[in-house]
Formats: sequence, structure tokens, C-alpha cells
Amino acid sequence: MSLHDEHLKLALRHAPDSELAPDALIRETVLAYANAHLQASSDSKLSCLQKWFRFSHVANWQLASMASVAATLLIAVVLWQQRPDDTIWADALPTITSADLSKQATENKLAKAAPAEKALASLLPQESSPVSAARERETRQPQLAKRSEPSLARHDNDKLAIANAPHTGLLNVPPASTLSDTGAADLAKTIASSAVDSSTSLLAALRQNGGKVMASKDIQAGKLRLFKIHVQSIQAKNTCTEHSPRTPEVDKVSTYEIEVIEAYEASEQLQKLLHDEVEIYNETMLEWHANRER
Amino acid sequence: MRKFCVGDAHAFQLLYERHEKPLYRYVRRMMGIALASHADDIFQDTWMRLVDARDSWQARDNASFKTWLYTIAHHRAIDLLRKSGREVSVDEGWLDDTSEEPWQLWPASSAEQPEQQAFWRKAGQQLLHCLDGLPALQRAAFILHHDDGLSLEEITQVLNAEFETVKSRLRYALSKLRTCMGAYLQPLF
Repeated sequence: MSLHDEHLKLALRHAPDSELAPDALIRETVLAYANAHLQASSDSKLSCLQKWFRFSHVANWQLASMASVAATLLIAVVLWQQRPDDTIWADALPTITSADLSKQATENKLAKAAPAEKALASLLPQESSPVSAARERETRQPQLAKRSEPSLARHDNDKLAIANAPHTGLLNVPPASTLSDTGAADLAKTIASSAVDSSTSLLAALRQNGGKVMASKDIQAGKLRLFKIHVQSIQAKNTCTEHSPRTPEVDKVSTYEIEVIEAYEASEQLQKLLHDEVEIYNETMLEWHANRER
Repeated sequence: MRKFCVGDAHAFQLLYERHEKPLYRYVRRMMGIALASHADDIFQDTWMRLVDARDSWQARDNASFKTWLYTIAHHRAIDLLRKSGREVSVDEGWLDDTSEEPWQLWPASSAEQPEQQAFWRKAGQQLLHCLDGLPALQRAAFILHHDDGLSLEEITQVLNAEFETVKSRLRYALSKLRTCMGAYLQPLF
């Protein structure tokens, strides 16, 4: 059976309604609607986007899917940016030679530091490099140096403590005599980032000269004293700023005044190293006192 | 249509003038005699929907404007027919397998003699009555194919139906119409 019938087509063409047309009012309405629509859409391209979403192209479940994917991506990006990047430390740590270290410790770090840090740098004696001082002390006290050769890996926590510490009066600084080359560089960096106060000056002197040399200098200068490390948290420091100054302690044997060096938020290793350096200083001072008594 | 999509109002006017009468005829014949008064509303609504959806037309592949226009009109007409309860169900048993009928011998005259014009006019009037008795989808397939000149492939898009389904509906429609018209035109043989 054919699906096309010319007779029916002819009859359809001659049907009474074949010449019917819609009202002129409908024509005007439709054309006006189209013109208004064109005008409105030309005003704002955003409406085109809205229409695209509204008409049949994007279903509700598709919109929900897109929103879910977008939210997931946003969360992933936020979490990724908050994650600490371990490679930062690896990149920040150069392969240090002695020459590089001397530059880092004395020039570059201090030159890039803030004005307060520069002021601190000016307090430090510049006649010898930290590396040479550290090596000199290591030769004089092999047992202590052997005990305290920190590797780069062991200093990671210390670096974090240094980086996280505020710049005001935090003496989480290892003594230079007990540090390796890179440790000395970190020490210089830490001192440079600390504010100027009495404890910082003492630490800087200890770092520069070592406990034994500093004790010798103090003896020659007539500064007969002992040191004591006092480690506490930042909160304790902040709450104690209003307190009255401590009454100076005196060593019962030598009757020398014991000066307290405040250290805040120092790691265990740093505390240990700091204590060692102070211990050397005190031993040197007490040994000189004992010799003088004889 | 592309020009209209990029904001050419005159292009839309040309489109309207080109498709105004055929589309109106299609809508009116789909509505039938009983619902003829709704033809104006459906016709106007079809064009307005087309204007609203002009941006989505660009995304369609190989869809001619005419097919798209008739698809919108068809869906609106079917919606209204369903609401009014006028949609006639498909009666599969009505199909007569006898393909060769006496009405096929009607004079397929191309001449425009006044007598023949009157004859075809009466035949056309009768055909409208016969169309009223067809199910809506068969009626749509017949009108789209014979009056609006759409191919079977285009009709499948308008009716959103399979190709074989469209062929089947068209076959049913022709069979019923030939039967309905045959008796009316008998005196001409």
C-alpha cells in the first residue's frame, strides 16, 4: 500500500479551510513579542545563559551534578592549599659549603632582615665567621662536638619552631659551638629574626664566641658571672611581662651572680644544646675561680 | 532562523509570513471542528514558545526550522486534545488490508474547471469530516505528509515516534480516509 495519495492530497488542498489565516491581531501580537524578546536579550547576555539553563538542555539532575562537582573541586583546592608543602624546606635548604655558610650567616641573611634585625646584626662581632668559631670550639671540645653534631634531618623540627616563633624575644636558638655548618646557618638566621634584648645579646655572644671563649673574655673584662637557661612557653612570657624583675641569684661557691637567659618555645634538642654551651661557660668560669682561690 | 537567533527581527517576520497559513491550517485541522476555537490560542502560543526557545534551536543538529515549528505546535495540540478528552484512541482492527479500492480510480484532475473545483471542494469538506474521526496521531501523520509535505523522517521527529510507527499510523489513516471518502465520491465513477 502506498503511503501517499494524490487524490486525498488534492481534496485536502481544496478543503474549505485551506485559505484560512489567523487573525491580524495574532500576527501583531506575535511579532511584537518577538521584537520585545530580541530587545530584552540584547540588553543582557546573561539572560541567554539563563534561558539556556531553563529550556530543555540542562535537567535538574544535571545541574545538581555540576554543582556537586564544583563544590568538590573547591573543597579539594582549599584542602590542598592548606596542606604544608614538605618540599619547601628541601628547596630552602641549600647545599651548604663553608663559603656559602659564611655568606648566609653574615651577609645575606642579615642584609635581608628587617631594621630591627639589622640592629641586632650590628651588635654581633664580625671579626670571625661563625663557621670558624664553631670549628675552633669543636677542636677544643671534641667530646661535646661529637655529641652534638646535628644532621639536617634532626634540625627539621627546630626549623619549624624557629619559623613559627614570633620575632620578639624568642631565644629558641642552639649554641653555635654545638651546631654543624648548616646548624650554624640556622642559628644565624634565628638570631637575626629575634628582637634586640639582653638575652638575645647574650645568646649572640655565645653563638659568636662559644661558651669557653666568652668566659675567657668576660674574665679578662672583669665580668664574673654565671649563666642559667630558663625555658618557658610564649604564653608564660606574655603573662609575665608585668612581673617585677627577679632578684639576682648568686652562686654559693663562687658568689658570682647568675644571669638568667630566657628562652621561649625551644625544642628539646635546642634546649639541650643551649644548656651544653652555658655549661661550658660556667665550667670555664668556675675553673678560673677555683684556680684563683688556690 | 539563524538571523533571528542573532537578533534580526526582520528575519523573524519573514519566517512568520512563510509559515503562517500552513501552520495555522495544521493546528486547526488537528483541533477538528469541535475545538476549532482553540486553534488561535495554540497557534499564538506556538510562536511565542519558539521565540522563547530560539537560543536552544542552535544546538539542534540537522533539524530544520519547519520540523521544529511543527513539533512545538503538535505538542501543544496534543496536550489540549488530551485535556479535552477528544483524542480518539487507535483502533487497530479498522485497517482493511484490501489495498485496491474503487476510490483509487478517482479523477486525479489537475484541471481547474469550475465543476471540478466544486467537486474537489466538496471532497475537501468531506475529508475534513473524515479527519475528525481519525485518532490524533494518525491525523497528524496524514496532514503533515499530505498537506505540509514533510517526509517520513521529518514526521518521526515531529511526532517523536519510530519510523515504522509513523508508517503504520500513516497506513491506518489512509485506509480509514479512503473508506470514508469512497462512498462520498461514488457518483463520480
